[in-house]
Amino acid sequence: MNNTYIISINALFYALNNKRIKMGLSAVEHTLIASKLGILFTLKTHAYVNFKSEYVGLNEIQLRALQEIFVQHFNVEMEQEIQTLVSPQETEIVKEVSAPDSHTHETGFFQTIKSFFKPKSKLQEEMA
Amino acid sequence: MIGHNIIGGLSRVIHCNHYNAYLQMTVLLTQGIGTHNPERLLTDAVTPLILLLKQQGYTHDDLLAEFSYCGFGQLKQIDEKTWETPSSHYSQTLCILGKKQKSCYFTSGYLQGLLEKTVLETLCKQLGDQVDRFSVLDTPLNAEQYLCYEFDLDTHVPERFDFKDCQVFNTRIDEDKIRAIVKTLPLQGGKSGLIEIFNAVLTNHFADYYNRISYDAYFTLKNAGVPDAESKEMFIQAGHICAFNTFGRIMISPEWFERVVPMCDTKEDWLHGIIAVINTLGWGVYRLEKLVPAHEMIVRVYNSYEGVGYRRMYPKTEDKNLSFLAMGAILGLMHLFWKIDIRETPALTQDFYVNQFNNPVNSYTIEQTNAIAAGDDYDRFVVSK
Repeated sequence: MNNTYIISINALFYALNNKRIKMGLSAVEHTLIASKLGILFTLKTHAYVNFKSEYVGLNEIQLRALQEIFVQHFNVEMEQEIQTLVSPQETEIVKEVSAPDSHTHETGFFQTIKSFFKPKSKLQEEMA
Repeated sequence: MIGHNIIGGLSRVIHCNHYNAYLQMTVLLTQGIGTHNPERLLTDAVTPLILLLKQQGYTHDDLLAEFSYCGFGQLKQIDEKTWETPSSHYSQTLCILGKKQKSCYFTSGYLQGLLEKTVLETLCKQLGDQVDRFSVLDTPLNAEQYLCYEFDLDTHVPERFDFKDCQVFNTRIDEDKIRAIVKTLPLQGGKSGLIEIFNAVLTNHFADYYNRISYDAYFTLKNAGVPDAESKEMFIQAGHICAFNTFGRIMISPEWFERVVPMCDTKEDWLHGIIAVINTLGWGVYRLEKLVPAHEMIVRVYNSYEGVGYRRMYPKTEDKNLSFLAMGAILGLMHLFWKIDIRETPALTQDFYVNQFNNPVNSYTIEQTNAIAAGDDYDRFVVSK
């Protein structure tokens, strides 16, 4: 139950928007998804995760919370998509993981505003 | 107070449906935190303001007329326990990013003040219903007065470009002339009770309502453990969207090209022109302090409605980054001229917003260095890269 799974944020958001479009809903801007998830995830789990990172590491309980947020706030069931997107932590990608922060973790305001507007990651550029 | 538009003793501010939708969506994110109820917040925040208007002598008919005059739509009584809005700002203001849900919280709260009874929305066009319908309940009315502090600001508001540390600007933009032009525009609700202009739907809204819902939701997020920056970001983004849609649509309008552009020789003149327009919206008095095109912009806001409103609800704070709307709006101003070029009259679509205007590449950052909320004489903002 305490295993950590790594998930690519960009791939996750693309999957979310693909599913929304298939359901006749509009796509949601990635920065907005990240901001909303940052807030909703903290409220649901009492732990802050920075969804503006390239990757996040979540345990099974947190993955379930993420699925519930997608249903409640984005109108999509993402269980299957998440299952196909997650990788166990032991893979090479772990080096790039931004692990979940404690909710007491302090990030400077301007640092965050800057990161909010930071350039796309290479992965984002390739997929855009 | 200079820079404020007062109706019935209360400050009013002009905002568009895009801002109202985004702000309401942000407040609704606070659902499920302890006993906090954002739907009640969005409803009840307007009720004490209507009661204040009644104390000022407003009659039942005055309040019905003002609802339409300010662009909220039309209120129609069906029977003793039922009201409808054949047209309504808030049911036209679509929050497409979340689940469709009843959205006329403001209208319910307005009716609560009008009738002094609890009101609940039972049908909403957002859910596909033909009308928005409201039921008057027998449960006691909750109208907490939240304007707890006496606060008046007597800071001298300087003339444009006439204050210490202000850069020397040369422009043919005539701010008084622009103010006179704006006064001729139809910024009152027409037959439908909606203010449809510049391809947007505007409201002449209660400043205290915005401040109440924004700061209450912000403090709720903060107290629930959401990092401060994360909490602020959504509110600032609402202002950024406001700049894109309101300022942007004004500057691609025929009225702008006909009446303001002839006063413009440079891109900087366009900036002076739109600041003159902003100074008619009730947001306070914007004064450009410094501009290094494409690099840095410093703006002061005297009598900022957010700063003044904050001090009427809360004690002085040490946090200087609290005028969220102004932060997003001023950042948006920089983006309108030096990230995109609004003079090229691009189509202001959602795709353009996502791919160009809000694209992280070439974005600027904003910092609020002075804040009325923190005891300063004015709000001051620095935009840079």
